[in-house]
Amino acid sequence: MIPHERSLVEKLKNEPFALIGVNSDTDKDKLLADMQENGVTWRSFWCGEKGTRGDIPSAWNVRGWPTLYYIDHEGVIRHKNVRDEQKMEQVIGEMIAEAKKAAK
Amino acid sequence: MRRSRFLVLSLLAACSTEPARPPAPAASEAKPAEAPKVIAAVPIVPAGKPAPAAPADSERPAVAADSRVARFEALRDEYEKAMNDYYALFRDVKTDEEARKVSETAKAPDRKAYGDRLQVIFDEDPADATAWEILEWSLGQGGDLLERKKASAALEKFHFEREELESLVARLDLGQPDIASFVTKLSESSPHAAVRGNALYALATQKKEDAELIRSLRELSSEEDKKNYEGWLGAERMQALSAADPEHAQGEAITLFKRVEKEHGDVAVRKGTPYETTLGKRAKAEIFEMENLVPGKPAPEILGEDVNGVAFKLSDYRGKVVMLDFWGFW
Repeated sequence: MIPHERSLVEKLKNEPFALIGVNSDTDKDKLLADMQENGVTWRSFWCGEKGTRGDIPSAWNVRGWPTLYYIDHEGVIRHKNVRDEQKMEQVIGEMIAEAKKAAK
Repeated sequence: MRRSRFLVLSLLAACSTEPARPPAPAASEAKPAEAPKVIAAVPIVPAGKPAPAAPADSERPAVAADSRVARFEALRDEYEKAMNDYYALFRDVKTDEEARKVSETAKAPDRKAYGDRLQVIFDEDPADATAWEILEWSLGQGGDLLERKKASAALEKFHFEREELESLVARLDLGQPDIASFVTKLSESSPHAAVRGNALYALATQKKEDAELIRSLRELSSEEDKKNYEGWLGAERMQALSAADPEHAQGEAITLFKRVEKEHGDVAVRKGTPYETTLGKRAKAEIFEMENLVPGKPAPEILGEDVNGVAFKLSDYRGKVVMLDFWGFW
């Protein structure tokens, strides 16, 4: 998952796109080290010591990890849990095209 | 959690005959591990005799090696070791390509052979406490080690009144019609409120999973993916789900969760753990998710801090496409 996300972030760095994580690891120091080691450069909410029981995963009723939501430029949820890499890039591409069209 | 989706599916394909009930591809509970994840119109057999008492104390300490319990436990341990040894082969795999290679050369345990041996022990007496232990264990191993119809019939006929069903129902594969029928009866007629509540909750969860599965099937592109899903679900179920309406399934799920809230809201779950809650709270969260966290709805705002302690909001990214990823390294 992470290697593909790395390449996605790099590929789309000049596009209206953001990969935003919600991280549930509980050891902050270890997390920062692991993020560095694995090239996780994108921003994540951190759920604190409650981890998977944190406020954000609880509010979103997240019961399995990873869980993915795809949100368009207007803040509307458009897809959930698309994990196939090809399909993922397709839906993101479609939403980016919409965002750019709206910005004209 | 870092296992690739392909890895999960290839393990299933490699494990001989019928596929075990897997976690839905790549979506397994992290902390804690909920286990990765059954006949129309049979009149309920009224109040079977209570489960026979545990063996007398004089028998307990020195359990004969050939006693039924010992034979079951030996088989269970043998099976678990074989499966662990097999999975260990995949532990250091780093790419899908490596996973593919290992699954081609590694010899998966012969689950059908284990199932046949287990069936012999089970059939000696499907009603006693050992039979219950066998059912409970084997249902957690994919539910297909024992012959399904015999297992469901035994559950219904001899073990219907057990309180332990309270936690077992969540691990049953309600995608199987005879299991679903058994759990429906439990939700109506178990003498224990906690069993009735958890049974109804399990039925609601299955409906929700069906809705998500129907949506996933519609998004499949590759033939390989389709074949993998068909191998997991079976041709019949795959066909039924492919033709179904996800909105309808979701509506049914919401109706069932609302019933849980109303009729079983106070039933406590995960008692004595940091995750303790009630069926009512759980059901409410499920309803919220199905009504709001779906395509077409505005994403709720998120307020939080990043890993550097800097506060930010999801809406800061309005104008951009956002991929929101709930993740962890564990």
